[in-house]
Amino acid sequence: MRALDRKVLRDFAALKGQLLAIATVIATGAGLFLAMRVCLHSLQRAQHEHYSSERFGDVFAALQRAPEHVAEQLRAIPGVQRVQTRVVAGVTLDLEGVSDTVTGQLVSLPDHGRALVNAIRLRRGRMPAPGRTDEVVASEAFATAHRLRLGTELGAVIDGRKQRLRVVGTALAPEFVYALGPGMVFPDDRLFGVLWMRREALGPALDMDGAFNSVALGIERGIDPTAVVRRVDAELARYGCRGALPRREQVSHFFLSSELQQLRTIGMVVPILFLIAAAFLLNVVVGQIIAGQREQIAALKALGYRDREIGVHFGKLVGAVVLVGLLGGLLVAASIGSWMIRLYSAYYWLPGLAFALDAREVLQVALLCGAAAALGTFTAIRRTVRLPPAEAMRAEAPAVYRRTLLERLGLEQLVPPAVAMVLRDVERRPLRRLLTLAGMVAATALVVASTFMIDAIDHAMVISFGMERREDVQVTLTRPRSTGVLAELRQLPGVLHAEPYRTVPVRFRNGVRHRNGAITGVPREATLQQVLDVRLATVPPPPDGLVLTRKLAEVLGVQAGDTLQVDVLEGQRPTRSIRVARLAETYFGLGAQMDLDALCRVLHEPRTLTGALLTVDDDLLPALHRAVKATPAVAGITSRNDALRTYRKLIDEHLGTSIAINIAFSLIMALGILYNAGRITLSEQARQLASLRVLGFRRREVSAILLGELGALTVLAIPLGMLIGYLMCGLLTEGLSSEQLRIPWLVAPRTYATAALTVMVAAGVSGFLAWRRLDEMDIIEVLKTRE
Amino acid sequence: MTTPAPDAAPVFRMRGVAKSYAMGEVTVHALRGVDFELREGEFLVLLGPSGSGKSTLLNILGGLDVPTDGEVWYRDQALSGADRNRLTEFRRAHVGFVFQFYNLIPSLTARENVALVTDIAPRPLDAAEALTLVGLGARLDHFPAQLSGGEQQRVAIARAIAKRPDVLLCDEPTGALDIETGRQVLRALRDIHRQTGTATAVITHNAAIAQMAHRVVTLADGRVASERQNPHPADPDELAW
Repeated sequence: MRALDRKVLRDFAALKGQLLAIATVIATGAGLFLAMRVCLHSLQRAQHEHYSSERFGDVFAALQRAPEHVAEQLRAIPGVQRVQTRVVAGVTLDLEGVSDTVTGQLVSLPDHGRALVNAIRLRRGRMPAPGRTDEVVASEAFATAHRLRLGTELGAVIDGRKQRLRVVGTALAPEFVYALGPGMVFPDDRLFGVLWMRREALGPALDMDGAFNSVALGIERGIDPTAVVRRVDAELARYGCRGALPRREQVSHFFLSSELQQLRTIGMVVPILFLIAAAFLLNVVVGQIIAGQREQIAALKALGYRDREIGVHFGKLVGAVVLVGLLGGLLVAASIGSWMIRLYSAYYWLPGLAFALDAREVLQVALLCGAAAALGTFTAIRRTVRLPPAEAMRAEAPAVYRRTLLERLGLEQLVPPAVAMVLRDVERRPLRRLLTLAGMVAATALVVASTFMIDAIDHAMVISFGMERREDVQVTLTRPRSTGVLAELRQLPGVLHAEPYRTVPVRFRNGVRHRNGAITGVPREATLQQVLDVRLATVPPPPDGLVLTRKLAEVLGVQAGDTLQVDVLEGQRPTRSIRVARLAETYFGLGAQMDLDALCRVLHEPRTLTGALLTVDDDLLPALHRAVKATPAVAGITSRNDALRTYRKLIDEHLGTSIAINIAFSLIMALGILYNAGRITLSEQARQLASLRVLGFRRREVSAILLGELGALTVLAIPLGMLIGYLMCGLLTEGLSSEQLRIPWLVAPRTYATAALTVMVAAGVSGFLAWRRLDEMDIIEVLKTRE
Repeated sequence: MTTPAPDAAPVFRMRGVAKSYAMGEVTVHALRGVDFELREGEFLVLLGPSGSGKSTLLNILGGLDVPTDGEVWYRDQALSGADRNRLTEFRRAHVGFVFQFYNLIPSLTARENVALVTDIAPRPLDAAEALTLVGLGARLDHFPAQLSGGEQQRVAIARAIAKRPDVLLCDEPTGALDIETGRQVLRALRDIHRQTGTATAVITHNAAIAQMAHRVVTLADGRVASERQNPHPADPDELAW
């Protein structure tokens, strides 16, 4: 090994504290980048592979009932390649040992061959045998949640008739990668499952012999799905179609692709923040190393080393830091990455999800880190390399100091000389302090921005499940029923109070703008469902006219007082003009509310309901569930507590962990920055501080001078970081919100407190380390060394 | 000491060299028009008080610095006006430096400090051999911090001669040393000079050292004040200061 290369290793060893701190920041950035990229690509690959091998559809439609030959008309639509008609139905399921009401979706499988569109991938067992009307394949999510074995029997109520079903296999399907049951905000695989059954068995059970109520279409590449959607709508309108959907609006795909979009954004922004921090740290630390080695550099030049060789020499030192950081990054990526994959696997049922580091991605991240390091150190190294050797041999000219702003303002009596010493130093080299400050601000902001999600979702949950809705359980009916059914519901065990609601699928139109959605009719006397205005205050539902979700109003370009065209997508499918009475704030979905009677007037029908909200005596809840399973009119029952519990579980198990990781990483960033800042200040001011000790200053007084700067920076950084964090949250809410899910822009005090605490811990630890060094400083040695 | 012929060819020639540089907010005029020669096989002492410009002169000779004005020639190669890269190549190929404060790399052992030069020289001495020449054959693997000042300076001399330089330039080589240690270092320089005949320039403010030179040039206030031949160079052991 060349002598100069040995020097690289020895320099690294001598500065290992500072260099490893930087390597840790690089490892964090590289690890996060790699983990998120690998996850993203693994999800994308799995999605693509699953979609193409199971022929996921491009356009979907649900309808009431259409004879099979209508499929020919759909096939004739230009651009349509494949059509798969199906029969689907909601069921309530009865599993042994499960008292809650579990709902499911039954989906037919073609009697011959694989589905042309929306096929399934069998994972265990076999497909239902021809002629067997009781055999089903269960979604793997559901089977896993209930630990269903092949051969397990389930009770099901299909269209009001009880039936026994036997699970003969489990499967995954592209349309149920993210399986959200009716009324669910988050998936709960225990309470909702998909079951596939042969068409010859399901058709007759639903009175759909020779007919279908669902269709999925595959279209040719390059064909605009909107055009096909319009044609499908037109063809199926008279069969009770509730509006065809392009793939991007299909629920499972929508959630999966928003997740991928988020991952892509966050996977870019967060690691880059870390790499910027690393670049800054390298800049400062390499600058310090080079300043400390002026004479060595001069000697090397005198010996005849070329500028390039000296540049490469320091480049190797930086390279060593990057290399250690990258190796650490691989470890971080491997652990975080496989954790993330497990997290995604719990919510997104894709085949073949696995964390595997890819050489190309590793190379990418290596280039990125290299670029960050080069950016951070290029000027420092070049400046040194260009320094004429004779100049390097002379001690650096004494720095030019001047009186600080504070003193120039005539406030010098406030500033003791020891403090003036630090202040003048800060004023002379403001950039490094600014960058240190920026790093701490970034760390604070990062904690705020990564933690606020819980505040926001909490708030949305409180609004949705605490203010808008106050029921214990929600009962969904199989189809609109007359008010008589309400009396039946009131008879069920444990029911204390029941309120009807009516949901009508509609298309809202304002000129060319339109959206599919639903109007919910709420009775005027309702107490379990509330209308909230844009300021989240409860308001009485207006006697007529729509209360429109603010987001929907924005999408449609209407305001309170405007009139909307509403195409009703069921029954006689009338089109009505309805006035927008007021706007409301909700965080989930694109909906509208209306007075129940006003809605029925618009529909020209007597008061009907599609479901009811109940308050229930807790003790009788199991009995209620048993009774509901035996009530044919009921399609499903969801409990508000279940939804809250699912949400808590999501927060506790997953979001909580990811936030803890983010906080840990922010801590690493703050520590890396502050530790280095402390060390550098110490090395720059060691002589001055030692001189003060010689003059009789106590250890404590000298420490206070050193730590005072650190403290001042921390005090300044925290509020700034909170502010920037708050603004970042605003950008994130914009970026992460969709028409279906809006994330409120708010940050709770506990989040600010966490951020402040994180940075304070980092400042405390680095302060302690710097203080210990100062305390151990050999005054005489420091004074003896030539500057 | 073998006396070189008085008409020996000059290795370095300087004509009207001036140098000024900024030091903080002050401009320092280090050289104000110097004419000077260093000849083949010569052991020369440049004498002068601190601030007389002798270090600047040496730096310019060694290609560490360029003059603000005037001409500098190494054999038939003009150093004044040469760019940084040419100066580097010149140093790499021809010059051995010894500094007052040794300028060893503290993170490298004695052998490794010498290896810094043997790594880049075309036909170097073996590092251990160079160290043996200065009497440090037994301290090859010591770090600078484990060596005395005299030993460190001898490592620096070994490092300077390991490339078999055409000229050896020494800037106050005994400036940081006590008398006895200083004599050791001077003996090492004289022995090397005897064995290799390398043209050597030593700058010092110590007039006693001038007694061991073939020729003594005195600098004062950035100009050559006097120049004299010394037909009988003294042995370092006879020197006293």
